[in-house]
Amino acid sequence: MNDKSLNDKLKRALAAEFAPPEPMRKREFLRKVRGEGVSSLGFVLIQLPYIRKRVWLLSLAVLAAGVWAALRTGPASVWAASALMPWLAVTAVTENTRSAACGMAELEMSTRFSLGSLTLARLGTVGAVHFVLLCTLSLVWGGDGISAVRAGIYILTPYLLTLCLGLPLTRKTGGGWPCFGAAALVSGVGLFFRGVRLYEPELVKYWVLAMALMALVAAAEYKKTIFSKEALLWSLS
Amino acid sequence: MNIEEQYDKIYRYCWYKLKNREAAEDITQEAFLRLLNSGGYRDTGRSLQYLYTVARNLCTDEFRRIKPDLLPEEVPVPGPEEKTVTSMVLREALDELNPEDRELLLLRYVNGVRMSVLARLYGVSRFALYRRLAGITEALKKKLGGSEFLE
Repeated sequence: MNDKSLNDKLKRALAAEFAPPEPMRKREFLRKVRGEGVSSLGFVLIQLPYIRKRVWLLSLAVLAAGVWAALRTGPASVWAASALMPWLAVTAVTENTRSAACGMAELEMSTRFSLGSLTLARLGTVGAVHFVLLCTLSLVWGGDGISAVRAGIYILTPYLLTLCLGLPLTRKTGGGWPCFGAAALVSGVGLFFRGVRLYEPELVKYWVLAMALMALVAAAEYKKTIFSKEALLWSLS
Repeated sequence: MNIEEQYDKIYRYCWYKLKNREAAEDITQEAFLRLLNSGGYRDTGRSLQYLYTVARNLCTDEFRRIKPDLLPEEVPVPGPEEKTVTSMVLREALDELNPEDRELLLLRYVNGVRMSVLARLYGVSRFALYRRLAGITEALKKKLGGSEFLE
């Protein structure tokens, strides 16, 4: 009971049987419609200036602090970079709450692009920049006794954990402050347990496992966050 | 969504419903304009369902507004004299199906609309749609019995 129930010859014959005469105004219409449209890249570029400057400034500050700490203390103090990352994740999560926090959600939902598309473009842009930043920090922290990949795992895991906690919290409360609490918790736990062999080589496999799990949860939370904006749009229309 | 490809498909669907090029093209363009002005539908992956629903409703309105016999007669290409015997056999077999079943064949096998979209469009479950399509194709094959299409 699928497409195979009709052979290709019969499908072609059906297509010929249902063939309409050539449309007369198709090209003109498509030219007009495409002229009014915006490509995906163009859409992201339009959104770029609307991402708050503090997001970029805080990201740069985290990068600068990470590089400074790496140069000053060396790879053995990778826990410091690990404890910094939740604050980077906060900038990504709170960007998502901007419309609601500024009382603009209603207005954004009535505009040309849906709030879900705006959120996807902004979170995607901030996420891509953070990915580059995390890779840079991993390379900086990698060195004697600790590889760049291992440093990357220590750096990425708390970032993802903060996303996993922060996204549902901001979705439920509509504000960015609970995310700061989540970041403080993750950062504090990292700092508190730094002395109890949390960053020892034999525990790396558990870090990898945790990172993979959190990557999946974070992806699901991103999806839920985008769809929650669309659900809001549908319920208002 | 490839607008150019979908334009052809929606136009084919409208032409099938109305058998009038001008009206079919007007409705095709109207359906696309409505889609482009409805950001919500465009972004939720239900564009096709929206397009077909709008096109179907507009075709029904047009059909009611102008009596079918008042619409200028347009003959599809190729003309009857150019048709091969096998295509005439197919035409006869299709004529014996009811209009709704013919429409379903067009949407599924010519326009290639996904089952999930068709199920939402017709407001039935996928399973019910599978069964109905199986019945239609079975009936079509029976009517074509022994023709070269079944080789």
